Amino acid sequence: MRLDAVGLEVMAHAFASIAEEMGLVLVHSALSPNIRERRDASAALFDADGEMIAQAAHIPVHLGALADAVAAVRSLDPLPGELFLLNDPYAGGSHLPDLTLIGAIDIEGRVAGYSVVRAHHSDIGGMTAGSMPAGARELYQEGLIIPPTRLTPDLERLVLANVRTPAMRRGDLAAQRAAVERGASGLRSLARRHGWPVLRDAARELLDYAERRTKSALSRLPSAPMTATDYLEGDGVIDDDLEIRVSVAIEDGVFHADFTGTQGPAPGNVNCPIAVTRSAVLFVVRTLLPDDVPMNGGVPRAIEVTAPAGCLVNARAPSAVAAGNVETSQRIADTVFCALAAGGCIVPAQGQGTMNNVTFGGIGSRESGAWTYYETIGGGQGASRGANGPSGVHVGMSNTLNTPIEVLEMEHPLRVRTYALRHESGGKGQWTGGDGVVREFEALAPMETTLLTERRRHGPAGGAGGLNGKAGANLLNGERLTSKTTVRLAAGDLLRIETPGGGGWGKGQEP
Amino acid sequence: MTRVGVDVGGTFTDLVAIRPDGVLEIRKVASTPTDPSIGLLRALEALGTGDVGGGTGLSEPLPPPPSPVPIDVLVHGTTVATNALLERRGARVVLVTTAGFEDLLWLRRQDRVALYDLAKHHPEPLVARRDVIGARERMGPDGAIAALSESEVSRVTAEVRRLAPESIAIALLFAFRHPEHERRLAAALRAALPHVPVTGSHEILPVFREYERTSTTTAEAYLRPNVAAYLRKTATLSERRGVKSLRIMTSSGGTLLPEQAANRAASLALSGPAGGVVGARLIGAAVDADDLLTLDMGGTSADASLISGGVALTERAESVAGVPLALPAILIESVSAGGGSIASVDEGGALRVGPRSAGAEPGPACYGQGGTEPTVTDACLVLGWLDPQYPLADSVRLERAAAERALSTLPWSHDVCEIAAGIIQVATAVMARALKRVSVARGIDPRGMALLPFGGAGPLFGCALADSLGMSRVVVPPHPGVLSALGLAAAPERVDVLASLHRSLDDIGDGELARAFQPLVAAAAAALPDAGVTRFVDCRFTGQGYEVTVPALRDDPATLAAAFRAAHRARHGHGGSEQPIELVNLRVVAERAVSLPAFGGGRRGGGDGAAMGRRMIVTREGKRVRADVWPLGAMPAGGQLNAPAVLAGPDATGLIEPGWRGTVHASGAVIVERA
Repeated sequence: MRLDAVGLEVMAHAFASIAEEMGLVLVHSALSPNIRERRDASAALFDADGEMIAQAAHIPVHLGALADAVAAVRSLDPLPGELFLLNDPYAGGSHLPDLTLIGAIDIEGRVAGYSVVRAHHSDIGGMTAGSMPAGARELYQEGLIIPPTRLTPDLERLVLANVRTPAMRRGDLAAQRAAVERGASGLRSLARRHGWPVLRDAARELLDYAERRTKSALSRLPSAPMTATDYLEGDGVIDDDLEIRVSVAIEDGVFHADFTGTQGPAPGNVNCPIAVTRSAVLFVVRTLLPDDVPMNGGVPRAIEVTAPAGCLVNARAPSAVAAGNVETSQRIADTVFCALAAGGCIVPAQGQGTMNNVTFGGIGSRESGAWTYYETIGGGQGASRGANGPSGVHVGMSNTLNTPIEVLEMEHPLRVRTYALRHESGGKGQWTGGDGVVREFEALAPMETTLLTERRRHGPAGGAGGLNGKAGANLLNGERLTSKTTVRLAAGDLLRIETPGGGGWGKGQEP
Repeated sequence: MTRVGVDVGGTFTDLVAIRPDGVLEIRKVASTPTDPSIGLLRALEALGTGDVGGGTGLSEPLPPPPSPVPIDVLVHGTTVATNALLERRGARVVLVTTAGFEDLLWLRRQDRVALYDLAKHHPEPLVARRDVIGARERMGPDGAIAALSESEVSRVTAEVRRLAPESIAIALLFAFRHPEHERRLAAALRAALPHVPVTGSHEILPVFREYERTSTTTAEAYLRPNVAAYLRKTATLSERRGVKSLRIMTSSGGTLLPEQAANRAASLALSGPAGGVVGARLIGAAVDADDLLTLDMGGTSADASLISGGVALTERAESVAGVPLALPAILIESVSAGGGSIASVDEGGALRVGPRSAGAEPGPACYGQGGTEPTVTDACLVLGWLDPQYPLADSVRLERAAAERALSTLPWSHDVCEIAAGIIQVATAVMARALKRVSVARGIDPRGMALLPFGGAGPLFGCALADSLGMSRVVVPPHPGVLSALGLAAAPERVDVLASLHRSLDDIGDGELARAFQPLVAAAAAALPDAGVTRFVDCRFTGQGYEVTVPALRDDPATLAAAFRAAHRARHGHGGSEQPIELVNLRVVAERAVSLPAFGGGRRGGGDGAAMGRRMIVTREGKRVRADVWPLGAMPAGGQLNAPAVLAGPDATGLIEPGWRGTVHASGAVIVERA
């Protein structure tokens, strides 16, 4: 059956509606601020072949990477109705705190598709509270590794025994499971109404449709090969610049990104699994498409990513990866944008290019009230032709909310001393980059904190002659810290994070 | 006693009067956007003269009523707050915040407005950055961390005075729990600037999350001078007209006296849509349908809402016109699908409807006012659902040829009827999504509920929407085009009082809950004597960020806990095993229902039970069928309407699709059920 123009649109709304419901169930019943306030989570429906049908628009870095999670589960021959948990970055995961729950949806006794919910848990064990340790050299140090496994009460007990905040994890997992179930029941009731074969065909048509739209938009871009190089600033073990190189070519509407020339594995935690690299490229492609193209598995069909095995952006076990998902992904997107700009595409100047990951954790036994907290901080968006860059927002691969100060202070021994825009930090130009953010915390008890940040040395680049944004800074009691570090805080210590401004666009007016 | 509701819309001002004998009087006059009170007054004058106003399409001339009609209660649904937000025409506000946090309104929640459009900005806040003053003070979760000195109070007061604002907002951190600093600043500012309104965040929204509270407080300050002036003027006009009592509809579906409403300006932001939901609830009650999904289809958007057990679902609104407003409001989910929504085929070959709209100007192509793009209304006309012989409420004659021309510009079929049917199906899918958001997404199964579509074109989509949600009952109200005004006329008086508690349910001892509720109940009773008072609690599992509201029928925490777990399971799919429960807010709602005559009995028009005629129409499946045409709102009770049938009313049109059948209820509503 081939859907007509009408059926296509009707089914797109029906599928999107289910993904939206999954997201609402998760956010409204989760326990940890990182999921409920900041919404560091994504929900999606996949078809039986492992292609994404619909996703609630939350976090770009989850977007492309979920397909690998479903593929990992499919390789285990799931039975209808089975539920899987995973976080192994080398088997469908991204970094260890992202726990992904996947339900094999049972329709008429067959696996008709997959209901998928990925959420960032603010602890999954490992060497520091919050499970994003700077200085880790191996994945084993970053927390508990869960390959795709059937989620049984025993597995859940095992997981909870390995984390610092088991009650919160249990609550978040319950919310995640309810959201997966909501996705499955949503698809089942749609199948009851339309019949399963109609639904399955509709999903395929929708993927074809998105692929058509994507290729049609891409084929209007320059096709000559375009290359660019950009750098990460250290990895928590060494503080050297680490090189990412990409060559982009667009042929017959297919976007090829080749990372040959990118440096080998980093000793620290900025290594990036290939699923996350694909996600970053997908994000860039998505910004080039009209916004009414549905986000489903048809879009990545028009994308080819190649990277030498074991290099920085195609990490091999057991490299540490905590910052690969949150920081390297940002730089990959920046580098691909640079290549496009070099090839004559009109793209925005660089945004802050970091998520400014900040993790806090109480030191002590689980009984004496250990706690963990994770947040990321917005900064300047790059200016684009015709518009200044927005200030104080998440750029690139993240789009989480902040944690309200009143929530943070009611729940954890932290006080926020200042939360403000970092005025004049956006790069000047014909259009000005967005300003970064200043957020200053006071520790009210001894604790451990980890920073995974970027753009502390090289400010985000301006575009088309615009000036660079101001680089960020991490200050402990006024003393500079490196971009990736784990330190202990005493009560009264002040940790001040100044996030980068976005690059400016176009040459400023002559004085 | 005659009760009158007046709903000011973008194009028309609708009036419904409920006379003591139950007869409804309906008037429609053109709105006067520059001063909406003129339209209001004209509508009242039209009521006095018996002139039904611009083209309601009633075919028979009306006998002039005894003039002037005495009005006991006038309930007004106003867009003055909504429009001030949309058009950014409010007062110049100075905002006082805690020092170090002056940028809160610009930082928002730090998410970007569009995931993939990197150049897009959030709407600007309602206050200019140079008009924000940081006060050196700080409250924490347990009280003062940095005291507010007297000299700082003086400094802030002098600074505010220097900026010469029209209105003042104060929103300090933790004022929802520790309002002392806000109170002192408010008192000093009121004393220093007696003619400038001062809004403290603890007065208007004493709940946590500083960004939403600051935004709401700023919006209140921004709106207060305009709203107060408008309400004063309206009060004077209606007093001159002999109206005994004027009341204003709020976003939560209750009414306030004008002087109360002037101090809750932001709570009028959804005044108009709330009237529609109250009207739907009234019709639902008349036909014994307590569980309703409602859909108000307008020109550019459709608003879905939900009534459960006779109560409209109320939640804190997310935002209005890009301004976060966390005040209680009837839950409304909007989608961009209305009569004027434009259909197009995109480059991938999918048919789209909306979000672009032809609006009132130029309007759909068939209006003949210069529109050339195909709209939903054009599709309805081409399918024969609307009658070109019969003017719409806007007294516009419809041109079928223009509609066909517009539809034939869509490049995917040569058959205009096929194109039109496609547009209907896509518009239905878009509207179904809004209906699902208010029901399925909240764990509420719509299949046992009735669908109540209203607005001029809503009832044309009743059967189609019911099909896509698996519902089997549609209630078409007798006057779908003026249901909001009817709702206003019949609205209960209502006051909402809220206090934040933040206590674990386990720690609450005997009698403590009753004591905590006591001042709220007293405040509600003082504001609305002799009202029925209902108590609610907002609970969540400790650590969650969103609450579920359940009625507090008894004072015993165990009963509350059980009620909360059941509600949580229904909505979120799990009941949280042994997790502790936190009681976040106490809510008291005082509501005084109005006594209404059983309307419908003396309905005007009193049709003779015969169809107005028959005509060929095309169904959304593309079948040509012959349909009876019935006069909606003028049929004798008990009449059986076989499908297919067109329900042609003076203010709206409905459709009974094949496979359904209608029964005329004594209220004048048509109950449509699967045959």
